[in-house]
Amino acid sequence: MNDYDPKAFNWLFAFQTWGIVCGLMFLGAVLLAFVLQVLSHTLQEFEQIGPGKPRRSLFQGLRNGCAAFANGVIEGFRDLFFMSPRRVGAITVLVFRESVRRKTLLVLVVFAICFLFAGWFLSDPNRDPLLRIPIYVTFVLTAISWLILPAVFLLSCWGLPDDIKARSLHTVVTKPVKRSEILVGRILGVTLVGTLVVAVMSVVGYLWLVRALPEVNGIKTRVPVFGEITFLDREGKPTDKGINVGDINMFRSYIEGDTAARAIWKFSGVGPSLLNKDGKLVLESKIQGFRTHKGNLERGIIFQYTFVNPTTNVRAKFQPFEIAEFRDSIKPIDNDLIDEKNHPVKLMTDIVDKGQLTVEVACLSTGQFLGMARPDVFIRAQDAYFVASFFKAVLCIWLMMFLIIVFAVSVSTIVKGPVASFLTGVIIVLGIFGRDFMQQLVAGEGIYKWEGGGILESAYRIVTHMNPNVPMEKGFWTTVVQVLDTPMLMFAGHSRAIIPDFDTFQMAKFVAHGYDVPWNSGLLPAIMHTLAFLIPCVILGYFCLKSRELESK
Amino acid sequence: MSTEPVIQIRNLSKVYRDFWGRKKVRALNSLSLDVRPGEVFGLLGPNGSGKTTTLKLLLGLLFPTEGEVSILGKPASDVSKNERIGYLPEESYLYRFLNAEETLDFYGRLFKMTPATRKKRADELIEMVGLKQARRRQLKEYSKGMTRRIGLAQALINDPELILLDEPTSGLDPLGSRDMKDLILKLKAQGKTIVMCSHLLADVQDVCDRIAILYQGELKVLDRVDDLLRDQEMTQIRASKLPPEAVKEIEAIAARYGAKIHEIGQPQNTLEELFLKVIRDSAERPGQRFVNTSAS
Ligand SMILES: Nc1ncnc2c1ncn2[C@@H]1O[C@H](COP(=O)(O)OP(=O)(O)OP(=O)(O)O)[C@@H](O)[C@H]1O
Ligand SMILES: [Mg+2]
Repeated sequence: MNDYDPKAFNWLFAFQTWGIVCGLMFLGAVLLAFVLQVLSHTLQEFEQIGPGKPRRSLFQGLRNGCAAFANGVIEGFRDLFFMSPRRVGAITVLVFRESVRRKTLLVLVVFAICFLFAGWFLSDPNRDPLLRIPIYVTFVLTAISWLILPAVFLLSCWGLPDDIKARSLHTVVTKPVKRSEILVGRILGVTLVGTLVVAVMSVVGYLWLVRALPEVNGIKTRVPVFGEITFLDREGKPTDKGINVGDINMFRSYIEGDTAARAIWKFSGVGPSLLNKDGKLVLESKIQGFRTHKGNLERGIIFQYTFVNPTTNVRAKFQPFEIAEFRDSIKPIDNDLIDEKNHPVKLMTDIVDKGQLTVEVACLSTGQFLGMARPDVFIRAQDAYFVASFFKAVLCIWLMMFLIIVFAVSVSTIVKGPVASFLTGVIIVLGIFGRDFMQQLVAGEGIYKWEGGGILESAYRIVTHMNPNVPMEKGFWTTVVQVLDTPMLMFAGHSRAIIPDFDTFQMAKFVAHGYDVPWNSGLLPAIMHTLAFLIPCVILGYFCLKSRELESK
Repeated sequence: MSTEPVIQIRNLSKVYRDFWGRKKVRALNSLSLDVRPGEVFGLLGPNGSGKTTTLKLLLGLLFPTEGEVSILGKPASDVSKNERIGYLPEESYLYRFLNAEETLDFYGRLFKMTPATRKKRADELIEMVGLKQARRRQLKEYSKGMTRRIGLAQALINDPELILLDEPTSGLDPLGSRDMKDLILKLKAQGKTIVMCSHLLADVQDVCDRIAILYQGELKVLDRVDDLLRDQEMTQIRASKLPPEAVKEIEAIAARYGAKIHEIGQPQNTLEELFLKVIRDSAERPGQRFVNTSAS
C-alpha cells in the first residue's frame, strides 16, 4: 500500500456525478425513443394512403406516436416495479441450469490446475515470509478475478442472444412473463453461477494460502484511521504542500529539520473505541527521510509528535524518536501526557477536541528533511482478522463480476452475442486501463478547459490553420461557437463516468500489505459503483428488450 | 358462457421490415375476424399466407403495423392475458438442455400455481402425451414427434381457456395425429376455445367448427365448415324410409321441374375441393377479399 492514498467515499460528489450522467443518458435515450416512435407512426400514416383509405394527417401520426410513447413509459415502469419473485426465480434457475449444463463449472478445474502448478513457481522457502505474503495473496486474488470474469463475460454476453436466436425465448414470452422478469432473472441466474464459482475458488484459495504460508493463520490486519494533512512552511505559515526535494514521485512532500516547518494531521471521530486493549491510542507512521548531509549515519533522522488542542491551545509533546526508514514505526500513546507548561493532561479529554485529534509532526535533525503524505501517519484501531480482510476483497471481486454481468446482459438485450462481447470487452479494457487516459484527454488542463477551445473552436482553428495561442477575434460567431462548445465539453467530461472504474474493486493492495479492507474507502465505493451501474443498465436493458419483437433472426 | 368473442381482430396488418425499417413483406392485410367462445376455429392457407403471423400477433410476439387485437378482453401487448392462454408453436422452441419434467416444471412456475398442482399437472400431461418413458431425458435427444408432444404438454400446463395450435399434427405419426384430434374435441367438450392452423385439410374438416382461409395475407373465406362445404347446386333429401310409391312421386315432381334424381341426398364436398377452389380463384382474381359481415 505504498504511495496509495485511500480517499473516503464522497457521497455528495458521487451522487452529483451520477445524477448528471444518468440524467443526460436518460434524456438522450428518451429523446431518441420519442423521436423514433413519432417518426414511425407518422411514416405509417403516409405509407397507408392507398385506394379506399381516408387520407390521414401528419397530426394523427404525431398524436399516435406520443400516445404510444407515453403508454410505453408508464407500462415500463409498472413492469419494473412489480416483478413476481416466483417468475424471476424460475428464470434464474433456468439460466443456472443452462450455465451448468454448458459446463461453466469447468473453470473450477482450471482454477485447481492453476494452484497445482502455482506451487512450483511461487514457493521459495528461503524467502522472508513477510515478503511472501503479498505475493501469495495477490496471486490468489488475481487468479480468482481472471478466471471468473471471462466465464461470466461469455455467459452473460451470449445467453440472451442465443435464447432469442434459438427462439426458446418465444415460448417463454407466451407465458405471463414480463420482459423485466426475463432480464432480471437472467442477470440473477448468471450471478448465481458466478457466486458459486467465486465461493468455491475463494475458500479453496484461502485454504491453499494457509497451507502454503502457515504464518497467515491467525494473522491480524491493521485497521487504519486516516486524517487530513496540512503543512506549515519554514517560517511557520500555513501552506497546503511542503517542499519538493526533487523526487520524481511527487506523492510525498517534505519539511525541513529544525525550522518552524510542520506537517499537521487532523483525525476526526477519535473516541474510546479506537483505543487498544491497554487503553492506549496507537499511532503508526511510515515517514521517509531525505538527507542533505550524512549527519550521524548510526542514528536516523529524529522526529517528534506534538498533540495540540487548537481551541484551548494545550500542547503536549511526545518524546522524539528516530524514523525507521522503509519500515513502519508504531507508537502507542498513553492517555497521560505532560503539556508544555509541565501540567499533566489527558489525551482523550484535554487534547481531543470534539472527537478531533490534531497531531503536529516536526523534524528535529538540522538540515535533514522528512517526507510525508496523508496516509503516512494514521491511528491504528483494533486489529481485524486476516480472514475477514481476505473475504472482503473477494466480495469486491464479486461486486465487479456482478457489474460486468449487469452490463453485459443489458447490452445483449439489443445486440447479438458478438457485438455484446465486443462492447463489454471495450468497457472492461477501458475501465481497467483507459480511465486515467480518458481523464487527461477529456479534462484538458483545468476542468473543461482546453487550449484552443472546445470541439467546434478547435475544428475552426484546424481548418483555418490558426495557432491555438491566438485568441479568437470577438464577434457573434465566436460567441456562438463558444456557447455551443460548453455543453459539449461538459458532456465529454461526464461521459467518462459511463465507463466503470475497475480499480475501485481491486482490494489486493490492502490485503496483501496487511491492511484491513476499509469500509469508507474500500467496500462502500465498490458497492456504490456497482449500484450506480445496476440501476440505469436494468432500466435501459428492459426498455430495449421490451421494444424488440424477438422475431428477428 | 358469455357470447362475447374470445378473440376480436380488427383491420390487422403486419409489414415485416428489415433493420433499417424498409418494408420487406406485407404478411397480413386488413384482417378482421372474431372467434367465439367454445368453438374450434381453423386458419387455413398456403405456405406463407400469414397464419403463423396472425397467431404471433395475437400473442403479442409481434407488434401489429396497423389494426387492433383484443384477446380475452385484453390487448395483445398485455402479458397477463397469457395466464389463460396456451400456445403450441409451429416448431417446438424449447430449452434443449432440460428434460421433460424440468420443462413442464419451468413453464408451470411462470403461472400462478401451487407446487403440488404443478407437479400433478406435469405428471398428467406427460402421461397424456405419452412421454412417460422419456420423462428424464434431455429434449435434445428427442425425435421431432416427441418434441411436438412435449410442446403440446407445455401449452396445456396452465389448463388454458384459449388454446392456439400452430399446425398441431405436423410431425406426428398417424396415431399421434388421431390422438391430437381426439384431444382437440375433448378440449372443446370441456368448453375451451381452440384456434388452429393447419394444412392437413382432413384434420381441419374433422374438428373445426368454423374456418378462415387466408391467401397472401388476405382473408378469402370465413364461415362454418358445414355451410361452406354444402353444395348449393344440389339438394339432398333425407327422410325416414319412404315407400317406393313416395319415391316415385318425388321423382315425378323432380321430372316435372326437369331434374333427374341420381340419389336422394345433399352431398358434402371435401374441404380439399373447396380449398383448392378458393386458392385458384384468388390467384386468378387478386384483390378480392372476404368482407366480414358479422364482425362490425
Ligand atoms: N421474421 C420474419 N421476417 C420477415 N418476413 C417474415 C418473417 N416471418 C414471416 N415472414 C413472412 O411473412 C409471410 C407470412 O408468413 P407466416 O409464417 O405467417 O406464414 P404461414 O401461413 O404460417 O406459412 P406456413 O404454412 O409455411 O407455416 C411470409 O411471406 C413470410 O416470408
Ligand atoms: Mg406457419
